[in-house]
Amino acid sequence: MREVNGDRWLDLFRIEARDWLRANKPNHIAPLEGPESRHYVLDWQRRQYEGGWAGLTWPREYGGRSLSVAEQIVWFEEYARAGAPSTHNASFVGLNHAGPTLIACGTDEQKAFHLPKILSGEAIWCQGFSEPGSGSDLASLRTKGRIEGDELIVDGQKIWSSYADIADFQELLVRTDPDSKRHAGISWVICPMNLPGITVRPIRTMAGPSKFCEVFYDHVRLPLKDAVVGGLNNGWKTAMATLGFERGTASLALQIKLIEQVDVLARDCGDAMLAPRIADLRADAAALKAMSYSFALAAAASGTPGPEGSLIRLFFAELSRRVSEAAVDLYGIGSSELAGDHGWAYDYLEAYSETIAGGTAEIQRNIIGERVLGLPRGKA
Amino acid sequence: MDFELNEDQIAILHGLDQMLAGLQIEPPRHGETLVYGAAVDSELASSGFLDVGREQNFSTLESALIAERLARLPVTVEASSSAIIGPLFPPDEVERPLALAQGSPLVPARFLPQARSLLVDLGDDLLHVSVDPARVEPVDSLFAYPYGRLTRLEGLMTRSLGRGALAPFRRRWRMALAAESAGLMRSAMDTVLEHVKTRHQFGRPLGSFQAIQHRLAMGSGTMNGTYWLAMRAAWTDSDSDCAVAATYAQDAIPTFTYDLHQFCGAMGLTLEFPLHYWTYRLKALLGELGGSSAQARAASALTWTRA
Amino acid sequence: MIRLRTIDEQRELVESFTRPAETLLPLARLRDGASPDGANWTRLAELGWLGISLGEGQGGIGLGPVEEALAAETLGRCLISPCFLATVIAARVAEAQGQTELARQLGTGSCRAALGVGRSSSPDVYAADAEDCAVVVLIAPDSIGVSSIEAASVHDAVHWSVPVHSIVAPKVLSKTGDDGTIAFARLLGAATLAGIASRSCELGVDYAKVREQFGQPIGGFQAVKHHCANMAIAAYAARELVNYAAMALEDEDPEAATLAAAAINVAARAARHNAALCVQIHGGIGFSAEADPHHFVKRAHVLEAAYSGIGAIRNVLVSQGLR
Repeated sequence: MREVNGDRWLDLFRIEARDWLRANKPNHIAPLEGPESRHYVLDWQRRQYEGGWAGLTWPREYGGRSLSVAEQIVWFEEYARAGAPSTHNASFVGLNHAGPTLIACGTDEQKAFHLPKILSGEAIWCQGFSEPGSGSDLASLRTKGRIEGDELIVDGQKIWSSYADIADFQELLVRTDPDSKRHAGISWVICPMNLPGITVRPIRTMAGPSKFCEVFYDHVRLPLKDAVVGGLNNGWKTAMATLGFERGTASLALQIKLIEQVDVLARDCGDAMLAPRIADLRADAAALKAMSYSFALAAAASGTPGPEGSLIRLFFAELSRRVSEAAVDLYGIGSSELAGDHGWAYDYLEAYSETIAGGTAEIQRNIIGERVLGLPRGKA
Repeated sequence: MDFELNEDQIAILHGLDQMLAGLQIEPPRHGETLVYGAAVDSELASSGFLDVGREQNFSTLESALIAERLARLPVTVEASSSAIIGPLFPPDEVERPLALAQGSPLVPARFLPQARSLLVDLGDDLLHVSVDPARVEPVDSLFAYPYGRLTRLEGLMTRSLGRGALAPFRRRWRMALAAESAGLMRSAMDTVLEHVKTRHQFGRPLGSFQAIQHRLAMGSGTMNGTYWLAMRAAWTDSDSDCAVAATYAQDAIPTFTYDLHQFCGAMGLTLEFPLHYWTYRLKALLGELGGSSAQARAASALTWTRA
Repeated sequence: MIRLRTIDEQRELVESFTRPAETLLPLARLRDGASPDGANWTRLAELGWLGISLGEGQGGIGLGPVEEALAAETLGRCLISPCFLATVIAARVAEAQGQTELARQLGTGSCRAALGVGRSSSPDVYAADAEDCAVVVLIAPDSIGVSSIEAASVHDAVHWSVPVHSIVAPKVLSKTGDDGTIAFARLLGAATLAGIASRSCELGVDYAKVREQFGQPIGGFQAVKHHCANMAIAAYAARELVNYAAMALEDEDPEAATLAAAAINVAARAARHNAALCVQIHGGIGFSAEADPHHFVKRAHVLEAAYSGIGAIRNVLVSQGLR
């Protein structure tokens, strides 16, 4: 119940968030792979849910709090300042892709079943989009979904599926119209990861612990009615909604964290040669804040993130890289931060994936050029 | 200016290539980030390639050519420091393999687990520590060099080499950085060129997309710039040329490695794809000796004096 | 954190307020190299543009930082004479110092201010488009000064899209070190530079759609397309930060001064970046004086210089406002 004015309410909300985080954030660092990581992520999600901090902007009827973008931002700011576990973990897909997609395109049954589990820390989701031959060119995907009665039989292979080895469900794109070639004939389906016929193989990356996986589907049987989201053969549109979230509001927590990290660098910087570079990073972090906040506000108002999301996503990815590089220059490779799993060295190498995941920077620029600026596609 | 290798240089590099071919070097297995080329190391030690810089008719240029060639390998070996910095000291006084540090002898240093000597730039003195491998604590690192650190100097022989030894030491460290970077860039570039010719998306090879072509062209310019500045520095063995070469290399590494990884997509992020063999090491070299900003300051101080 | 809100209404207000810019400030007017808007100065005053920084009692219409920034951006896109920025800043300085008569004269156009560029080892200054200007505004990292110009002390110097004069030792009329005024000056400079970033991006994109080579518009080539995308990002970042900083000033947010400093940093770099790429995309003609891109390059530099250069702009942010 709110009897205070908007600004005062937000201040109180911030104080509450800060206090709760201080008292409740985990004391030890997240294990980065394996069953311990699953347990850690689910446990932290459940704790946030029980504290009333999960799904702040999700509809109340599915366990959220139907709050506004302002509260979401305040929460992410306090979350970053408290040094709470990175949101770029196994809860990311459920909270930022699958969840919002279900909210936008799912049936009532799908929403009622899956959304509360995501929020309360009962289910982890992963994404099954890319394939070895279909990275940037996602529409060329070949994993098949053959309809047989009331079942969908999936055969094929996905790659770069983060956390597939510890996930409960997967948002999976399959080709359900065998005669279709590209965008048409693709369906977005929910795939339980414990079904027979699914094999998961973790891939080691340059940042160390593996969260990327290859997933193989051998005659995997899904219930047709429950699995399809957004309509059969309408998966491309559904997926575009998902990727729209990735390019817009999903990154909000990460963007806010980056802004906080830049302040840390600025405070630690005593080097006269590095100071101007870090000044530019501070300025760019402020620009990121301005863009992200106003974009989040607009997206919340209209329901769908606009095309500027690509601009922000790209700006964020490249800023991440420059921040990590500055940190290496500032703290030195010979510092205790060399060790892999946490700290600047990890972020430094992780930053490489920011300009690749969710659509490479080059693809984003194509999209910006063609869809935002209206430039022609170009003949081969 | 003569950019062609002379007969001696051709012979040396040919000999080196033959030696390496004979060793049948295996790159790291899937999932490994680092393999120390122990077989390469022992062949190098016994073959005399690392001592070329000590010989009458040869100089740092031959040493740099060797260092650059060895940096192209998918395995890591302490060669640049031995070949380029080593000849500053009598070999029985400063034993290789060499590890290098700045500021303190107790920081993590590249190659310390294999090293017999640690050379430390203390700012007002050059310190030589005789390393006992049993005293080196390995440091876990994502960058594809072996790192270790000493926690105490007690019981280890340490010698002050004097303030006068600092300038040459820094000069040769910078030369080695540049030469090593050039070799790493070369192999990284070769890997990516092969990839963009064979990887297809949207019905055509990645390398047919203009943005990729242009940026690879720029990367090639960077790689060649690094190489030629390193070789010039090795030829003149001058303080300012070496500082300039190191500045250029360290400055160029971020954009160079970024672009190469972009063109290899998600595959390039994995340890199954060979790009990291070289880009990991390039990233480690980025911060050495104070990083590009320190090198730039040194370059300007050494190149231009106040009128 | 600022109070999150959209600024659509304020945007609409400024759009109608500045609509005459389309016909009054065409880019073509820059081609003969004379003072771009000197002849029209009274007209600009009649439109109320010169009084945007003044309070209602002083001849202004009571605009806030958001509207002021939007107006500066819109007019900046048209490469309005730097005298506009100088006049509006000088008017604010004068008003804040109680010099109501000077403020009134600036707002009504009877006194015109020139944008100055200080010279470190000399009492002389450079001033852009300074002919017929009575005062010159000098923006330093920690102060803003308004000095009088004696007609005899004005000498021709160089031409950078607008004439840039050399002024011999102008006399200081007023000076302020007030943080709020300095933040205001930075915000408006940032807005003007953001306008340059936007307009040069648009010019480049439009050209890429129209110019054909190798049988297709050059914008279809990926390298050109990516240049355009990079310009769009830079312009967007600059514009959004200017608006955010303006909202912060409006809210009297404790971060406002830091945000204004950040805004001029980002906008200056965006303007430089975009103006350069705009030239690049235009190819040979982009380098010539017959096409418009070069005006954006030059104007970006003049503005940067007026704020003591990119180095000083960076230095401001080095430690300001750290928590």
